[in-house]
Amino acid sequence: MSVSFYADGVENDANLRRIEDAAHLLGIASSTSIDGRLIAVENAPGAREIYGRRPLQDDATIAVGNERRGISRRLLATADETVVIPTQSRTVTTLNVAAAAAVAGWFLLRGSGQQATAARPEHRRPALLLVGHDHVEVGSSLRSAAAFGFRDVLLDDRGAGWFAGSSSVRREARAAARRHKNPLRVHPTTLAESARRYDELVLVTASGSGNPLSRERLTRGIRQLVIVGAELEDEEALADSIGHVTVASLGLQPMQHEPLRLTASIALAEIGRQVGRRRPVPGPPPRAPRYEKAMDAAPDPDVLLVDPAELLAF
Amino acid sequence: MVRARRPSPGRHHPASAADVREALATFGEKAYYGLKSVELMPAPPAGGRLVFGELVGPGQIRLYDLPRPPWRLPHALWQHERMALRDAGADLREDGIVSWPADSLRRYMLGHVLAHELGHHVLQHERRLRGERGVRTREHEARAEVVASRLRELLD
Repeated sequence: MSVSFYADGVENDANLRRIEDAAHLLGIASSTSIDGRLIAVENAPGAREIYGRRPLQDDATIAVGNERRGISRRLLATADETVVIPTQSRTVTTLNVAAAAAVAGWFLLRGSGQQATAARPEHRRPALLLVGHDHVEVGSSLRSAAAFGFRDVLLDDRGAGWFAGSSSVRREARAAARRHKNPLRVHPTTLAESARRYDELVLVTASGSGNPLSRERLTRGIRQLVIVGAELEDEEALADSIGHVTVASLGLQPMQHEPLRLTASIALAEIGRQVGRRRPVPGPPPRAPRYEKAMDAAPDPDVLLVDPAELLAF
Repeated sequence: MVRARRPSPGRHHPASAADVREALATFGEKAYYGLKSVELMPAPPAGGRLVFGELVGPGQIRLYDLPRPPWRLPHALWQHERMALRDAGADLREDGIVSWPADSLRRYMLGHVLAHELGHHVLQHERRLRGERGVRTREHEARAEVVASRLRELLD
C-alpha cells in the first residue's frame, strides 16, 4: 500500500517542511502527484469525519490545501472522498496545515473508533501540559489545543519564549497560535511541579515502547494530566510524582526532534475523540424568536382591575 | 422570493407580490440581504387582534391578508396605535370605523409593516444571529422601527 501527502498550494516553506516531517513520522511519502484514491482534508459541506473509520487498505493520496484558501475547488471536485477534522471551538476552527496533515494521516492510516458522546464532555477532559522549545511549534500546538476544545493549558517553556521571549519571538508565537481569536489560558509551569499535582500522568511519546495512545483512557478529567513534548530524560522528574505514570506512544517513526505541533495535534485529536461531544438533548429544537406587527385591544375604561387580595381585605 | 397565497374569503392582500418586489428594490440590497422569503398569506387566528405581518424565522417574513376597508374594530385601540394609523393615512372615526382612502392601506403595508419586519430582519442578520434573540424584544421593536422609518423615506 502506498500512501502520500499532497500539498495543494501551500505557500509557507516552514509548513511544507513540517508536512514532510509529518510524512516521515507516519512512514509515508510526500508527493507532488496524485496516486490512488484522492482523500481531501477540507472543512467542506458533506465531508466525513476522520473518526470512526477503518484503516486505509489501498493506495491513496491525502491532500491538504493552502493556509488561507484551503484546497482548490478544482482538486476538491476530483477528490474521491473529503474528510474533516472535527473541532470543538467557536473561534479557532482550523488547525495549522501541517498539523492537519499529521492528524488526518494518523487517523486515516490507523483507523479509529467513533467520537464519543457524553452528557458533560468537559468533565471528562484531562489537563494538558505542553513541553516546548520552539516558539512557533508551541504557538501552533496552542492553536490545536484551542481548536480541540481546551480552555486551559500548562506550558513548560524551555526556551520557546512564549512568556519571556523577545517581542518578535512572542509576536510570531502568538500569530501561530491565532491569539487574536484564541481564548486559551496558558499557565507557566515546569514538568516536575505539575507532575506532583495529578493522580495520573500520561506521558505521550512519538515513538518507542508504550501503550498505543488510542488504547489509553484519556477521559479521567482533572485528575489526569496528559504530557506532550517531554523527553526521555524527563522521566526522572516524573519519578518524584505521587501519581501513576503511564507512557503512551503515538507509534510514529523515530525522528531526532519531532515537531511539537505534529505530535501534540495528534494527541489532542485523540483526546477530542475520546472526550467526545455533548450528547444531543432530546426534545423539540428551540423556537426561533418571532416579531409581529399587530394591534392589540386597549382595556375598556369602564372596567376596573382589582387585585383579589384587596377584594378579600374589603 | 416573494410568494402570494390566495387570501381568505372576504379579505385581501392590500399590497400585491409585485408591490412587495418593487418596494424591496426601492429599499435596496442592504435591507433585503439575507432575506429568504416574503409570503403573502392568510392571517392566523389571532383572537380579535389585528395581525399585519411577522418575521417568523431567519429571513422569513409573512404579510397577512386583511379585511377590506372600512373596518369596524370590535375594540378600542391604544392611543399610540391610533396615532400610527392616522400618520399612515387612515381615517379613524369615534365610533371605531377605520377607512383607508386611496391606496393608503397598500402604502401602510409596504412602508410600515414590510419595512418594520425588514427592520427586525436587518437587526437579526447583522448580528449573525440565526435563531437567537439579539436584544430584548422591546428594544428590538424600537430599533426595527428606526430602520423602518429610514426605509419609509425611500418610498416617499
